[in-house]
Amino acid sequence: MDSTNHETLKPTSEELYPIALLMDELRHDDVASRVQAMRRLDTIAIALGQERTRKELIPFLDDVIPEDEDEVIAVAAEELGKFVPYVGGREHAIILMPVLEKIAACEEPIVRDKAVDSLNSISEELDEAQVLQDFIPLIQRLAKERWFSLHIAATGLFKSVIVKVPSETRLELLNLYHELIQDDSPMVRKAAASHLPRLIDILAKHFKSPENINEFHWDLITSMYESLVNDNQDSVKFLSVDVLIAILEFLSEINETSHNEDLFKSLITLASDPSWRVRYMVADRFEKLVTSFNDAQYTIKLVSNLISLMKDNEAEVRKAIAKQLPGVCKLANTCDRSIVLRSIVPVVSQLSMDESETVRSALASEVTGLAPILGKDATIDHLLPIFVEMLKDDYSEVRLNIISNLQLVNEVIGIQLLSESLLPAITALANDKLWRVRLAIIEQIPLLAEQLGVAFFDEALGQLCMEWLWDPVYSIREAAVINLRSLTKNFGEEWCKEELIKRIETKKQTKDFENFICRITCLFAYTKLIPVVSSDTVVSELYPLIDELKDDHVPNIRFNVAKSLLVLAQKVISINREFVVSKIKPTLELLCSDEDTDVKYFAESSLQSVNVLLGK
Amino acid sequence: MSELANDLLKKRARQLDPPSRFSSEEADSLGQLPNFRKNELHLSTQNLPDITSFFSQLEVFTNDNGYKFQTYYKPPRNKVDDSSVIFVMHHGAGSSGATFAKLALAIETQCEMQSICNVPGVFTFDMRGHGRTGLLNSSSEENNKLSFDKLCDDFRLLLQWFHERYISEGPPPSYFFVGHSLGGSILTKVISDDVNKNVCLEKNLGQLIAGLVMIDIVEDTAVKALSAMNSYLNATPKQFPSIEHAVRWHIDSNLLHNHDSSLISVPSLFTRTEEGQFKWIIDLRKTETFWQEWFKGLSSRFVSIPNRVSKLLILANNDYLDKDLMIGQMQGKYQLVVFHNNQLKHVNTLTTATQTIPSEDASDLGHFVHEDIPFKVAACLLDFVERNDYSFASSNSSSSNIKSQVDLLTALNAKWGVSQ
Amino acid sequence: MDLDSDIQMEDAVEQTQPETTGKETSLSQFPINTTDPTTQRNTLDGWIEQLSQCKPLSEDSVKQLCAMAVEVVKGEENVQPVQVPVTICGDIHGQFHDLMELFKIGGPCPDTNYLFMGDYVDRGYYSVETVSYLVAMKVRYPRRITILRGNHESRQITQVYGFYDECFRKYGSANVWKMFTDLFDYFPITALVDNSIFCLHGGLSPMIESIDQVRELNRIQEVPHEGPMCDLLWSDPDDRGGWGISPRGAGFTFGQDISEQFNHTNGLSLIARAHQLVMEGYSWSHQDLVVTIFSAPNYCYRCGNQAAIMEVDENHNRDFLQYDPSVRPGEPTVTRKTPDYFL
Repeated sequence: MDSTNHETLKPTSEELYPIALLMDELRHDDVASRVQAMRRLDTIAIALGQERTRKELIPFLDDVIPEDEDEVIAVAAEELGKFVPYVGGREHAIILMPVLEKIAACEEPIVRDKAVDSLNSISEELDEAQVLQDFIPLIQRLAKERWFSLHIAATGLFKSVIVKVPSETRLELLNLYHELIQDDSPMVRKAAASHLPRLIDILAKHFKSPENINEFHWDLITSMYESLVNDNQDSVKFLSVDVLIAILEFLSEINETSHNEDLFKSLITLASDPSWRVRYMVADRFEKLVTSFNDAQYTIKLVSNLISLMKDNEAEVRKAIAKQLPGVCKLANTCDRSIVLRSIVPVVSQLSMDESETVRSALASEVTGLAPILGKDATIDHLLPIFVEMLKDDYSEVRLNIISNLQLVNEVIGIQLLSESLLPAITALANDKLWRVRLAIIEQIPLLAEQLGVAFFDEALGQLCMEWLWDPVYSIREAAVINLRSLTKNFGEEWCKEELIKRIETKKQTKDFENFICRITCLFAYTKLIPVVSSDTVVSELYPLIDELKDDHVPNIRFNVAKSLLVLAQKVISINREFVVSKIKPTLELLCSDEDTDVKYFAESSLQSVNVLLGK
Repeated sequence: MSELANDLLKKRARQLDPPSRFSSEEADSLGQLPNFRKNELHLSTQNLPDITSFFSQLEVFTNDNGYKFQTYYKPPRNKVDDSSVIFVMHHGAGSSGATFAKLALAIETQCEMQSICNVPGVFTFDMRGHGRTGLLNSSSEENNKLSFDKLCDDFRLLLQWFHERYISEGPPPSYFFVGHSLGGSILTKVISDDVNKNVCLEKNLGQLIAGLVMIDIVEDTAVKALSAMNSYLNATPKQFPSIEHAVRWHIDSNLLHNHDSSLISVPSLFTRTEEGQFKWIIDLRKTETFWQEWFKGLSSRFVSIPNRVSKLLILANNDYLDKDLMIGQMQGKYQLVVFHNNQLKHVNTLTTATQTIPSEDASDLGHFVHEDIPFKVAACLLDFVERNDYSFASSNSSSSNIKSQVDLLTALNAKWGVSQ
Repeated sequence: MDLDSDIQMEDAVEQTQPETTGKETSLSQFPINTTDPTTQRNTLDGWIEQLSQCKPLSEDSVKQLCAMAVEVVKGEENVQPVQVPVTICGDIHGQFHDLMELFKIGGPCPDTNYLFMGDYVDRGYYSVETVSYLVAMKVRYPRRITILRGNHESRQITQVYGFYDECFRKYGSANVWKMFTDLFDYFPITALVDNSIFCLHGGLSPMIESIDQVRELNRIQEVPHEGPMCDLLWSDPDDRGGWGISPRGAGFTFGQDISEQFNHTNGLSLIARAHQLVMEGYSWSHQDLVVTIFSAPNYCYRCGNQAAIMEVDENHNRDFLQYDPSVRPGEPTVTRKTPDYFL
């Protein structure tokens, strides 16, 4: 940024006043105020100008920040990352480093990470000479100090400079990183391990051509990987899985396969590690690992590891591998058309009866994804029985996850087969005690109806669709109304009169109709039907009930009548204007003088719209 | 005394705690960048207060196992016929009985200011391995055997000894147990065992327990904090060149916030080495095997104590409750008071608060809240006693027939024609 | 330190900086012409729409909203009459998404009439959105929704249990907290459904034998720390007979004999109240003379309880609807500093 630009922003004396206030805030007793003030550190810097920022503000912060509360320091660390322009651009950027170095020494990970992030973004601005003169020594200092927290900070700083420095410095840095990978403190090894994949990616991106591939330092990288794989702390060791993926991706990029056998062996060891965390990591990254080897022979070999992870003792591992099934099966299927059905599906069947509900739930959300891989016949023979069983699972989330993903299965085997085999289960779920399960079923109904045809539908599901109208949960009643409208669209007006309106008219004769919820649901249902039936049916079949409800003693019904009448008017205006003038308008006018303000309001706004319609 | 005058006195009494140490400096102009280092404390340890000015009775309780417990007692001051209230206080790990010295004094002062004629007594002691009890047993291996069961046994022995030694004659008192941190956990376990007839207190002492107060302890938080205890202890200096340095360290590390209180509580934590250094009496790291059991099951145990024993939980600057405490609170099973860091300068909140007492200088309070703001904690304890000890005569006013809660309830139930 | 290793959920992102964009801002730049009902309704509808997405209003809008709300609620009675049908709800405590779930179960307002018995704020992460939403609904549909005062609708309690901090966090000052707590003083303290169901947050007071005595109270004040108004917001029913000292430190406990007497004297069929967490969401006591309703499922994101609401139809039939927490990515885990020292 142009360094003179900000000098012109030097404040006039009136502007100084709020700045002084801000400075006061920085010294406030209350942490929240100091945090707020720290967030506006850039304003202070702009007001002070570059020189005073360098000479006064930075030393002030340097003095004061490390004593403050973590919340305040974190904000300061974040803000300082954007400070290069305020101290006068690149040539002065290094002045920010000492204070950030102090903050990076903080034991609180959030604060430390912010300082490291800011140091990294400052390093982006530095030229090579500055990096060598100031940034590299900073990394070396942090890495050599005798306090674990500083080592952790150091591990985060390599990635921004590793490709910027000359060859011999890079080797030094990587050797230093190697030391951190073997640090005495597990926390440091953990931090180093978690930054390593990114470091490898950066090296891989820059040094993949034959002329500079030496700069990748394959021996050092693999030695670090070896060290991690053999770490005695599982919290460090499990991070080696991501390192492996990064290495494999590099090899695949340069088409080098000679190391695959060794790497594959190390993966096999990790996959059967005594610590479940390590096995979990392998399970969680399984598809990625298979893809990274990118070699059919290893894909087929890994199926046996997939199966042992599916049978793992630890539920978390089984859950993680269940999530990987469709992806991995798809890859396996391209190598061997029969291996999924032969080897994997029997274990899926076992997993569908897993003792842990979260495992079953994870499987339920993925297992339908196997249908496209297996194809129609195998899905019918082998997967459908699994789905049917899972639809009966005690744990509602399992049922819900199967239902919500049936579309995939439908695409493979067609709705006819799907519904025939699943219908009993669906009927059972229609009354599930969890309303979201009921809702998921309702949402499948229009699709089923379309495929099943009227006759079969009425017999199997007709009654069910009506019962949902009287559900205790509003959202189910609402979905039922929308569902009935879709069915009417599908099956036609006669069906609607016969199966729907008749049943509602019967309901009207029962004691249930004395309940306000029953009445308002009928009103909602009729209102929703108006657009999808003919004007004649509207006037002859739907209007009488709506009209009757205008005198209901519950105001909520009356104002919904007012809303409904507008929909009615919109429907019939073009062919039966007289009806609007003689029936609808007078009713709305009557409702406009209702004692209830809401009825009045909705009647007035409907009437206004009706008048517009009539004015056309 | 009129209600108003009484209220005013109460209010004054509650404001006795020292104001914030860090007065805000004059606002600097932009010209000079401020140096807002907190003001240096000028600690004076010239005249350390004497524990006997807080507790008149200092006795050593010995038992068959060879234990010599240092006990501290400040007897109640009563009208002749009234039964007395006695706070039995239990300190936490790494602390000592002296942690309650200022609180004991504050209770007396509060009573005077609120014209409460029956001043409750305070009994406390140094638990095994701690304070002067520790000094007397410095050679014994037993010092670090701080299993939860042993600590509970110790307390039962001490309570029974205390009751025989000081109370046995006269009308039976009401005991209010007050435990800080681990102390709260021990007291909860002792009451819970008595109520559930697992381990009963002798002589039906359990029947005399009217209330239980836990100071700044939440099981879930405590258990989570334990994982950080070792690094905390490692960062703690092993010894100090002088008591003054030790006090300064406690204040600077924000462990304690009240200089006056620290002058009486900190010295009791140290013993002098041959080199003239002051080192900790107890090495808490040696007790690590017991840390988990100290707090396990505390919250559900606390909440399950029947309402016959009134319960109060005092927290400092943090209203986090774990699941059991949260359900218990939302079902109204105990009273919760949070001394909270309040950013509002809302002057009247202190006199009208019911469940919560925001205090202006709460930024200067922490885990040892009873040391940091003893007068406010004392007021809170007295309110609790007044409310929950049915026979506690809170006022010597003769104008009203209603002196205590039992009178009030009797009158109310009579008015409604029901009996309780 | 791995003390708070709970996974941060998507919801945890502090997205709740009050919006100052779009329609909302353009409206709130001008004070509303409160004499023009159409403008007022449109503004309110805009606010309700924004709030229903869990986006807080600007400070300016809150100021206007509270001013309008004072006008609406100050005219209501200490014992606000409510008609059937109505759906009666208990504590919400800032669990905004669960409030939305409640409307999915019970039906949207204004189609369904609602009576809320207090405790809208504190503990949950969205007190601001929750109370703004309910107050906006109240101003927009005063006849369709009744909002009573709970013990948490108070200056002192909100300073300790989160509402104050939340306002400060979301608005950078305590102004919004002050506007709302000033408004709370005007909330009605009890309601009487069709002369039959007495609804209030806490319970009975030994100082109140007849409902008329509630009508005589001066309710426009901070919740006092003792006396009849305090009791109505703090008391709990108890298995023990008669009046007892409440373990809460405020209010009383009352036994079945008291409920019998009170309901008989006042010709009531039921006392409906909230205030206590009940694991099934509702709970009968005193042989069906008192019902407790609690509408914050998995209270404070950790108690594992169901929530419930009670539908009372025009024939006084009562139906309880129970529900679980809404399905969503999850609530933020509050980053909490674990103390250094805890022995």
